[in-house]
Amino acid sequence: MSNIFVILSFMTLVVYIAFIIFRRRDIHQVAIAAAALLVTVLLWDWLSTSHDQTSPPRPRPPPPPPQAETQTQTQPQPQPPPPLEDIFSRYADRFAQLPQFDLPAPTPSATAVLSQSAFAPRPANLFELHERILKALNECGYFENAFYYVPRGFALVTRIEQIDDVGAPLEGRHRWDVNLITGMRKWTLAEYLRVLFLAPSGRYRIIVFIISPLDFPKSDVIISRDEAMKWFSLGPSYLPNVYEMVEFSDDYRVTALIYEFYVREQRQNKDAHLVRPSHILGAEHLAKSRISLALLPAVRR
Amino acid sequence: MRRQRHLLEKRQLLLENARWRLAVVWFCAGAVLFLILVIQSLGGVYGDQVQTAWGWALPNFLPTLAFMISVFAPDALLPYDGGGGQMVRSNFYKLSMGLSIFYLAILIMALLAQPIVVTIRGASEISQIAMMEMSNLWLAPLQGLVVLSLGVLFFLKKKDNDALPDASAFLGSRKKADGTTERETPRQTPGS
Repeated sequence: MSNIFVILSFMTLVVYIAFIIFRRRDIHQVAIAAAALLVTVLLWDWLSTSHDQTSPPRPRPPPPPPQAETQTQTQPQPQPPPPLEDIFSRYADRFAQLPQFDLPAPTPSATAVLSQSAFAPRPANLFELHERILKALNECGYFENAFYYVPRGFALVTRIEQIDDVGAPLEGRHRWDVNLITGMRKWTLAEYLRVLFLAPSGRYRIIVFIISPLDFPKSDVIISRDEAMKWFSLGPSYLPNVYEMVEFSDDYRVTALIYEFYVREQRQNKDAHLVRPSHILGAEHLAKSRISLALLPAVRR
Repeated sequence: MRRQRHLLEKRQLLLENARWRLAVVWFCAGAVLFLILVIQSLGGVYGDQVQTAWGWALPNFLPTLAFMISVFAPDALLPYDGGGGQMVRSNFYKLSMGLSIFYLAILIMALLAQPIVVTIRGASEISQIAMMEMSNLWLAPLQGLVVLSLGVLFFLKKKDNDALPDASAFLGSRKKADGTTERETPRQTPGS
């Protein structure tokens, strides 16, 4: 209210001064009008100052909401993965739960490298990768496996199985029988004639999946069937959870080493010998065992 | 008379015919047995025990075949007598033939049954060689009977009046013109 009064007074004096100047009144009237204008301005200033002191303070605006904390709770910031060397050195005691696989690996009968597209969508870490592989192996009848440590990764060893001459597993209980099958596998005339006129023979297979970014050389060591069977019997049947910390990056490769053994009873020692090289390619081994089909995503089967 | 002759002919047959029929059966069965063993040996069925397998098989049929050949050999260059000769009762011939067929069937079955027995019982429980050795238990007595019957048929080379009656014992009699009866005499063959 006081501000309105001062403003009106100021405007009135300005108009009066202008009237006096344009109407050519004498200097005394102009001086008086100017003095009145000055008093009005001083009054206005005084009133403004006294109003700030006596009126209550305006409430402060509420503080802005903490936007930075909300964003971190809903979307965690992805942290760059620590280097592999740090993970394997920091948790060396946990990785030591697995025995180390014999490296360099004995020369296999066949080799197959699985592309990363076979594991689409890509697993986040090696533990998810091993679950994906286990699921595919279970679908193909490989329910028992053994795990080993390899530098920067792990190795998965399947149980030894009997296969036919084209790489397909035998049917029924004959598949997992380590002993030579001397009788008929099925009651057919062809099988009867085979047993009657030919010596019994057996073909065996062990698959070793090696997951690692490193390239391991292969040795010239010729492994026997009994030594290869020890891989399965001596290795633990689970993978430690510490592999969840290892990211399945583009550097990692999944290599399948196939060890094939053959025995014919007419041999004096009757020991199965390593077939090197196998007449069955590594990809055919995986195809005949249906592992490659089981690894494909369900959409692509 | 004719009926008696017909019955007589049905009850006997020439010894030479009987021998040859038995020989055909024995040689055919021997050939089958021989071929099976050869293929099994080449296929490696017996592994390192091939000699054991042949040592079991050969004494079971080879001596009989050799004996038959030795009986046929002396008459091989002689002319055929035209149907005459020693006769043998058909019953005995049938007995010999039945025993021979039964013995040879058991012998071949000892090989053909191997895949079935090994499948049912397992090779760890019984092997092919073990089956062969076990079959000697029933082949040996059968072989004795067979050899005895074949020996009678193959040992006799010509008629022996003291040993066996000739065919005239089965011939009938005929009336002569003067009313008396006489026995029919068998046809005489040269060299008999």
